[in-house]
Amino acid sequence: MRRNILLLLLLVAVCCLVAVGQSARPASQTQPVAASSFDSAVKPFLAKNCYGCHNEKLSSGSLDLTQFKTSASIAAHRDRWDLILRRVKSGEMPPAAMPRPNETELRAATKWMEGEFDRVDALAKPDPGRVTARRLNRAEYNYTVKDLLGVDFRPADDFPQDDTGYGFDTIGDVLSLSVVQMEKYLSAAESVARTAVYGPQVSKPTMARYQPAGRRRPGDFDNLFFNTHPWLSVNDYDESGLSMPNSFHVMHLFPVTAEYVIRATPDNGSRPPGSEALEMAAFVDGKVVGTTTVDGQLEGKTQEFRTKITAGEHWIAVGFPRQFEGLPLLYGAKNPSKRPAPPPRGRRGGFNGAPGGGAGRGGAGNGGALPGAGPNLTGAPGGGTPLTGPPGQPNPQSAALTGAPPGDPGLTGPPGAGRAGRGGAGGANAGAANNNDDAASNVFFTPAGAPPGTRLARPDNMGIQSLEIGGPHNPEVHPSADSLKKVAICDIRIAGCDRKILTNLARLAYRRPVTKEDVDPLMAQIARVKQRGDSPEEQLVVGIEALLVSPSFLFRVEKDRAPKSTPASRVAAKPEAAEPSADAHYLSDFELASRLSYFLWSSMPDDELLRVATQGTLRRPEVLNAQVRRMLKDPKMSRFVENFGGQWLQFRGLESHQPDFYLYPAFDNYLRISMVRETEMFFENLIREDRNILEFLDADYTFANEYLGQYYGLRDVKGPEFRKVSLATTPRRGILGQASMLTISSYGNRTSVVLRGKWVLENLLNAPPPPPPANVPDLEQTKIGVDATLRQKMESHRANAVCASCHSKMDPIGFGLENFDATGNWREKDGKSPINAVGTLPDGRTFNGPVELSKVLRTESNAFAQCLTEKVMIYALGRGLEPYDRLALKKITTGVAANQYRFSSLVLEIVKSLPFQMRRGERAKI
Amino acid sequence: MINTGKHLSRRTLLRGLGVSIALPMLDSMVPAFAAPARVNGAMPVRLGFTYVPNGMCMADWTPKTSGKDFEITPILKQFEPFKNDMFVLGNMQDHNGNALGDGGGDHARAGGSFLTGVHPKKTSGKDIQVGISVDQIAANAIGATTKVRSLELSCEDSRTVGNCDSGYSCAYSNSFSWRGPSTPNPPETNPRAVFERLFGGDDITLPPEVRAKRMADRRSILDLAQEQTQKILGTLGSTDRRKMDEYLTAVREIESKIQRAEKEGVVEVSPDFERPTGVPFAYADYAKLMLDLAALAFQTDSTRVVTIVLGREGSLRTYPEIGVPDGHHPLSHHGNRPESLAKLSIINQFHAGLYAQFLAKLKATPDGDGTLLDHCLLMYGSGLSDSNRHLHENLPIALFGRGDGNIKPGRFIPYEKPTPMTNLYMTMLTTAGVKAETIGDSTGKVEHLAEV
Repeated sequence: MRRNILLLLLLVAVCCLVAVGQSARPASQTQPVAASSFDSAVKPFLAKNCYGCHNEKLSSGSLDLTQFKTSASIAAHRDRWDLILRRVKSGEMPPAAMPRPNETELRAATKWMEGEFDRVDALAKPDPGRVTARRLNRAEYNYTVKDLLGVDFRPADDFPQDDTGYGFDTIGDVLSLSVVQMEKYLSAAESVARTAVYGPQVSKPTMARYQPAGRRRPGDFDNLFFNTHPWLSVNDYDESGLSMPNSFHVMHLFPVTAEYVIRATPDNGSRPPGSEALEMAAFVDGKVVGTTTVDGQLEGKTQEFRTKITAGEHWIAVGFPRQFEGLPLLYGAKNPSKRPAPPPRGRRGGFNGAPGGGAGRGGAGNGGALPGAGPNLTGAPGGGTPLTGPPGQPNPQSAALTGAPPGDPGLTGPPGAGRAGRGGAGGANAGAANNNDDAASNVFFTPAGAPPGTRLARPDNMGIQSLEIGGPHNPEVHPSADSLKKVAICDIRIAGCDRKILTNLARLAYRRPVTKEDVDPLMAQIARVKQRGDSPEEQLVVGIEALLVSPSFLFRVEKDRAPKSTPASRVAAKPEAAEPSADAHYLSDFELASRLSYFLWSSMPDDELLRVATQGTLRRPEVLNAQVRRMLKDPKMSRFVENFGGQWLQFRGLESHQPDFYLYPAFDNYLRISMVRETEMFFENLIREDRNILEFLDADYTFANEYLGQYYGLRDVKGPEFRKVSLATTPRRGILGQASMLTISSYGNRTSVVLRGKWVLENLLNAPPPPPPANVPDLEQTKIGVDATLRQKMESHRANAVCASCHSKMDPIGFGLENFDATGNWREKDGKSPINAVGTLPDGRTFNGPVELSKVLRTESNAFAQCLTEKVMIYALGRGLEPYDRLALKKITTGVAANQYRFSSLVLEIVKSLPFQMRRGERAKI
Repeated sequence: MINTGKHLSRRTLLRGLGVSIALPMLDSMVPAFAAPARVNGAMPVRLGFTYVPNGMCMADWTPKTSGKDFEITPILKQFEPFKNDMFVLGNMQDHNGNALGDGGGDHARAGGSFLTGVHPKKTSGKDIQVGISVDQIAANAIGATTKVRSLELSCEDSRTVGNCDSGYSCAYSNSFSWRGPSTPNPPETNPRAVFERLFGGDDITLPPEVRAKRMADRRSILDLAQEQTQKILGTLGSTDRRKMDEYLTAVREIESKIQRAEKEGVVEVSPDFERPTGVPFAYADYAKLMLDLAALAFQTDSTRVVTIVLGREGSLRTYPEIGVPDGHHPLSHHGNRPESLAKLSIINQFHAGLYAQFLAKLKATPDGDGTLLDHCLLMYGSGLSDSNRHLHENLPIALFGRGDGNIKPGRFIPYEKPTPMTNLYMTMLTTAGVKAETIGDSTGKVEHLAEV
């Protein structure tokens, strides 16, 4: 009887909730619902819908739900219950094959669970957790010595790779210090100190050599620019050469301002016979620093450019400006060649790189015996007037002259042999390509408006096979202006200056005020070096070295303090529901300042932040607020984008990701560099304009240069500079439309719906799938697209209920993105099969294609906010998150949502949160 | 005047670009170093541990006949010139690489357990825990006599993003060598850094007086660093103190290295000497350079313990240069398809061939009354056998060298019962004069090595 009344009350309560939407957002109600309980709402639900598989005997997925007999089990097995709640709410469980649970009962059960979670969380003593003392990681070391001493040569790039935990390299527990690491710190300290005082330490000139990932194979029918880069035509292309596929781009770190030699070696190609000489240009940061000309056969004709380059990382490129000018008239391009056409060759393959059968192919007005061959060969219609006659048919006579074999189907066969250029009527007729002869390159070009079958030597047959950067020559060895400013705050020949310098540097390096006790030992080093007769500069060098190997510099240590001790100024704002646990204490203002600066700038606090901490005002809400906002506006936020963004969105991995060169010829180094820059600029812009973080999911804009813009189908984007572009006319939205994400979530030779789905779940929705079971058989990759689509192959995921429990979440997302190939390029087909981009989530929502997918994801605003919050917390705190952080996380996400999800509110909420402001002490164990 | 040595800036995009370097004439250095002192009248034993990832095509490894005339299978063919200097051991296992209830993560576990014999604690961040590895046990005992305690090299860089295997911290897959249960000893991947570690950095071409001053400076500032650390230690909790201990240990070790170098005097090298300046683009060149450096380290007695990783466990490297464009890891999930197995075997033979060049160098180096190879004990193998099923049993293991002269190689010994790898390590340690009770899951030593 009582039970019925309870159920009735429950029903009433539930009816009120029915009006609430279908979304999977967790409710944030904290009052316990008296009407239902574990026994009345949850256990029966589990018994009806779950015990069938999750019982003691079967224990599906290693989960036996029958052992959870009371509500206390929830607190005891919180992680499991989190997962259970999530999977039940999203509809993953029960698996699709099983009957659906009653909606009312489902809602009652989940609501009870959520309420219980909240209740338990609210009761727990707030625990700020503790972070283990952590050493500077590579990025932090580089940026800290730059900010401290103006030294920019990135010494930590030589350090061993930092170990990562939870996806980030800032985790105190995981960052270990091996002997090798210490040796590196020591030698870095020496180089950095010497560079700061004397200038760059340069040894003999060396040569760095770069090569593109692959070389075009002569027989590749597809690799004509106009096929692989369809936005190009001989009359509409980037005349600077920078955004052309045959340019070559690298980022190179120059150790010192000096003269450098850029040596570019063209590859095995040539211009069409009769063309004018070709210009090659070298660029530094997008500006031309030198040009040369190459003529005729290109191979091996290494070109040298000598120029002065300043120290630091620069973008170096080599390309061919105006490369479709100076071509023979037949090509229909600008400024045609004034050179006479060379005489026809008697044998095939006459010109290196030119199709030997170029002779006799093509039916341009002059008979087209040779590209640009002019009238003297073939007695074509209108012969005598070289290049203006109407296009004619392929002339068998000319073929005879050039010795093409009779009956060569290439001459009279169907148009499009060799996949001539897009401008041509030749079109893309793959089958005919097999008719080509044994010439060095079987790729031909058909000019726009030329008769079908016109085949000229390809006009894009040049590229770079290697780029070498040699130097430095005549280096300017002196401390940088930045170093002078930061180090030489007085004249070291004057007494007392060295102490002044070291005191100043120590204060910044140790990130706190320094005492005589700190500085005296450094002065002792100086005295020792002085005593053996070395110069004041040398003395200073050793003093700085000592600073840079000190544990106070290398480690960020937070000291245990008396519990609940208050620092100089207290945060008044957020009263806690309960008093923090007995061992919790506030960080000192300096420790807080360090946390802030390493979080946002990957470096030490600057002068102002340190000053505020010294004054003891950092904790005042208005001061803290102002400082954080100041830091958010500082250009140093680019480091946050680079380090946090690079690991969260994983574009750091693009450094070593190499898609198959022959499958994806458009993916060259320039595209790689550009796609990383795009994502960085997107994130930097979001921070700078304090935008809504949900734009990661559905922004209809991005940043692109010409190469990337054209890659995305935006035909108006010209020029190598990056600028904001609208994506409204494209199917790309947010991060899911950016090539960086689409590439890093693919294999080198194909896409993977599972990888992409997993990427989204892990990095955007905070719902990482568990690892696959052992013994999963490999996917038969070679057959995808040939005898079955990827979708069909993935059906086996659906067939098995256990597989489906995870794959029903992952695969649909991946399918939604299948139109993007493994390098982020849009495609309509995968091999022979048209792409089907429909996906259906376990809760029934469907979408077709990336735009609809982004709309669906946008509704998961809470999940995304929580996800980003967690990741930023892990990165900023330097530890993984624990159950006791839940309450703080909830507060943060609520605060962020209340502020239109602005990025600044995310940062501020995190900074004000308990785990960021306080830490838990550890009883010292002897 | 442009030096033909090539230089690579690490920040630049390594994989997609080609970098070639001139292989330096390392051999020219050897005469500059004195021969190692004998230990109890015999030449010191050098220990090596070399790892290849993702198991092997076992059918092409395991000989069908045992004993002295064991079958030379396709992979072992690469080692044929050393047939009489080697053992092939069968039925070796790494039991702690198995899940043992922890679910997925065989590659991380293989990495963490292979040289330690301990089941790695499953954690993606905090409190990583495994055990001390065999090479470090050896280094603790015999490392003090050489300039470098031990050398760890790898021909594959670690992952830069994302999580590693299934909930295991990347620390487990990055390091095979562990100084202690929570202290990974990551390998060096840059040949230049290895060279500098062995023979000195830019200093090497400075005049001796300047070098002496620099060494004195280093010692002095490291002294100061230790004092500073001692002051801080008292204010720290125990977890933090452990981190500081790592720092102190490292500092002390470098100091003793410097002291030794000051005593022994510095080696004079001409200013034009070429040294490796970066990572070669082609894998074969890279591996060969690292192996050459390992050989040089032995030849100059700069160290007696070397760990070489030819590929990280779980390696995705492709080998298009030998006709295998597939990623190694996906390929190792061969599903028993003949084409996949054949390609996997090609990779295995490739690795073996590279290692054979290393062995040849050691065999060609005189050492005491014999060759350097005679006085080595070098283990070569993988922590997985059939990687398709992630098996940690019946591992492909070979042992090269004669150690202290008491073992009689030239045989394939398939043990009757599954034998822990750590038993082999016990034997290796004892042979090298290192006293150890146990290591990881060892139950004793391996048998039959000393009998015919």
